[in-house]
Amino acid sequence: MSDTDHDLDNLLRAANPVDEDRLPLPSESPGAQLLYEKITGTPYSGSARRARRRWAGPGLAAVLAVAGGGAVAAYAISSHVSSHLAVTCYAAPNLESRALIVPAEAAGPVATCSRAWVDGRLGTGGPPLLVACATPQGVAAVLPSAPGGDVCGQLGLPALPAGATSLTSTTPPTAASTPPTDAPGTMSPGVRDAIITALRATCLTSAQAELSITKVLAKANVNWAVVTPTPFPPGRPCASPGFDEEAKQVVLTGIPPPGSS
Amino acid sequence: MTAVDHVEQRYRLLFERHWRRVFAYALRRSTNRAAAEDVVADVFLTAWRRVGDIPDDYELAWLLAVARKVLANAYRGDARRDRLLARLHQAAPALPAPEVEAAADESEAAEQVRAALGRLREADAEILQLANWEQLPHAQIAVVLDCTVNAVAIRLHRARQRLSDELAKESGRTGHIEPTSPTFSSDTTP
Repeated sequence: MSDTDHDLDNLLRAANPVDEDRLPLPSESPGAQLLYEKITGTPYSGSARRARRRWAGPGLAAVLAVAGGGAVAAYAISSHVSSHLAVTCYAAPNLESRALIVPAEAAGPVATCSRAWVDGRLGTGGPPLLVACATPQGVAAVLPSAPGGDVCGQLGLPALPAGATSLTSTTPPTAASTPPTDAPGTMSPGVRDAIITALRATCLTSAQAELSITKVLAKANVNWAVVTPTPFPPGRPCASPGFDEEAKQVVLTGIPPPGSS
Repeated sequence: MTAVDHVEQRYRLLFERHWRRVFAYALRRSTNRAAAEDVVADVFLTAWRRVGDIPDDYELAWLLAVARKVLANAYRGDARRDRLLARLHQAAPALPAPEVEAAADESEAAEQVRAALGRLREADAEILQLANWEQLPHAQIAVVLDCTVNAVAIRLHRARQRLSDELAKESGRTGHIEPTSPTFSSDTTP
């Protein structure tokens, strides 16, 4: 590099409009911490492991209702898998292999991870034979398996049915699941319906949905719940509400636009 | 530690290491802080969805490549809005001046360099900024711009020449800026 280049680079550096060193670090920025919490669903201050167990603790009494396409489905809580929003897809039949955490799809954990394989995100050559197990953390884990193999058993994990339409291993989805009305902090069915109605009419982005729900909650004087978006996968751009009353959250997940199959 | 813990820890480290640099990148290229925050949110949301795809040695470059695309989409959205406003015979609202918070140098010379950058082609300005404001090495710039390292070296050389030309013109007009070399190439090769 010539002296001219050096001089020019010095001029350019002096013209830098933002001195990075004067910006806050994430640990000093409430905005950054809020962003982290909204994206991951875990507290910025806590460890990831401890935070995730907020979702997976024993005796979880959350009611997670997912509304989409005009239909409302409520999933009962499984004794094995309690994190219904994400599936972990492994590239090899062990829990130490490369893994992707992807938003759960209604078709079940195996179908969810098959899509990741088809997209080439876990390997080439399309999806291998996949099996679904429940991890001790309450997350569905989908791993490649040899025909007739017992990957879940080898890992000491309970198996999940491959064709499960929800992430439950033992309890099928129920048509409706109403929270106990006398539980403290319970959201009334009317408020839940108002939220579902607000989001059902049109395809709202995460931010738009958050605003709508905040308004509904404020109108209903519900000040104990927060809205937590989760990553929306491609092709599922519309916000759909889920209600996790133990964690006092309305969780937003992505669904396909109304009218699409 | 399970793979899930590993993924979450990696994302946390990624966020800790690079949030500030991505924010700075977005602030430098946005009209206001809120717009920059939106860009950063999109970048880290994408990173969360694709954390397994992010190469270990090129984390920042990968994030800035996403930021670049997010900004390009935002600009396209702005352009669509402006065209709509024009069709409606309304004056497009004037964009606020960039909020240059944490400004490093507000001297006239710095202003002139920024103005000269603004007159360059976008690709030239971008590569100069990546090299000098983000201070990325060529290999990292290649990831951001999705090109080869050789191409980065060539483009950077040409962009420097074009900026020198712009500054020389400015110097001729005002005499304020003092380029240190009398030889400013007028290479017009794209």
